Amino acid sequence: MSYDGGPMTEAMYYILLALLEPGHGYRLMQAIGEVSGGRVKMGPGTLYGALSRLEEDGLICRVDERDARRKTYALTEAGRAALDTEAARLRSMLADLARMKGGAQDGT
Amino acid sequence: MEHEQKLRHKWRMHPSLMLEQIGAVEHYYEEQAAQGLVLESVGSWFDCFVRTAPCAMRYRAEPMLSGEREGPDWDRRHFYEEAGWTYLGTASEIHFFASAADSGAEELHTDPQDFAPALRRQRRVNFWLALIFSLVMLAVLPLVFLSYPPDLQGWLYLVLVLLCVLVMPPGLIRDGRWLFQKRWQHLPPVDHTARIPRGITLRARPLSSLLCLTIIIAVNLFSSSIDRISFLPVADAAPGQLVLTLAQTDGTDLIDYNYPLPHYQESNTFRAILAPAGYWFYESDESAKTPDGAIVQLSVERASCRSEEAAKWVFSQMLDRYDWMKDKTSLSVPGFDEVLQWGGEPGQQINWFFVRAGKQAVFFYYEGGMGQDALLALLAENLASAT
Repeated sequence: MSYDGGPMTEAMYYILLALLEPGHGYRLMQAIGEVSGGRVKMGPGTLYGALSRLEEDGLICRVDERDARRKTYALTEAGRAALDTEAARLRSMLADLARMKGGAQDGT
Repeated sequence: MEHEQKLRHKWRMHPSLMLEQIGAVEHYYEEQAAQGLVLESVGSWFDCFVRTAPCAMRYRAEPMLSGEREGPDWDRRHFYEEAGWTYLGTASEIHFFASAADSGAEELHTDPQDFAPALRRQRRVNFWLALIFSLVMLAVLPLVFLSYPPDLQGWLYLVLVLLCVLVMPPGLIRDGRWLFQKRWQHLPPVDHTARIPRGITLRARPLSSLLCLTIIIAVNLFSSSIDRISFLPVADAAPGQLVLTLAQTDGTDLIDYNYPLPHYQESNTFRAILAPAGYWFYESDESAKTPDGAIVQLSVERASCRSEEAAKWVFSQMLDRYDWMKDKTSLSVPGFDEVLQWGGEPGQQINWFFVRAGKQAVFFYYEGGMGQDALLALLAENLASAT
């Protein structure tokens, strides 16, 4: 399923987040676990498929490495922008939550 | 040593299943490992197991990406191995991987939607293939009935083909509903503990192959039956019937046949050509020796049509087919509507004729002692008696 600029899936968000530092398959899998504090676990097959789709969508690209057989990925400008948009959306959602909770507490 | 190797290995037919039932195959392999048969490699037809002590293994499958006939590329294979999954082989466009149960390897696919594109593609291919096949068969069968009344043997073949067609609808409906309801959007997780249906190997692989074989045999037998059954004189042919006929254009100087004949063919050499309903068609090809030893050759393609328009169309088809004959001469011959003649390459004695008379279109070439006028007069006589 291609990315249409709307809200991201959790998996997609964490892959892009982990790719702030270029990385390859297994390293990325570990990075996603570390970045999410072990909360998000992504199987290698799922991750590989997601990477292919993100590459097709132009959000990530392959970067040259010494071993040409190994695919190392990095964020593209479009990927970085999509990540920023998503982060802004999440911040806005948290702000809404805080405001609503604050309002409810003031009311009581 | 070789004997030991044989004892250690065991080959079994690969249980081919649809991708959405793949959990059952994974579970089947796990059960085999628990009984001391560890899967070593997967092939299109056979899986290879190694006899060991019973052990706990995990097997996982995933659909092949396009252009991966040789298995996953190096990067993907290497990545999976780092993650604890070893590639075993590919069968029916599905890759198989293994990991020891206690390896701590992360589940290969954590999102059921990973399989959605492959499942959708598989269903669409199945659906459209079955639909097209069914429609073609439904369109062809009435044509066959119209143009060819079958005998008992013919009926048997037709029933065989019909049975093959009848196998299609259940899968067609199932796949159609699945696609119409867009079920690929919400796939359930793969059930890794599903049981493999009893006799699945028999049902899944040999049965489909048997079905294909039946279709091939039926079509071959059917075609052969056309050759034999429709070996009739022209006069016995009903309009629109596919007919293979004895020559009616034998000239007085066609005496001795040189062609080798099949056991069921009493004279001359003929080929059946599948004609659409509406006209019958025959082609003959003869070589003969005159009493003085000269070789006579006559080849005839003749279509007798239901209408003059059909005959004109067939006539134009004949001209198209022999388009390589340049500079054909148009002749005006009593008894024919159209006559085109080609004298062959310089130095050749063969005459080629394209003739249409009313509802009949004829192409023939002749090399022999008869002159052009006598030949056309004989043909006109034959065509007149046939109609």
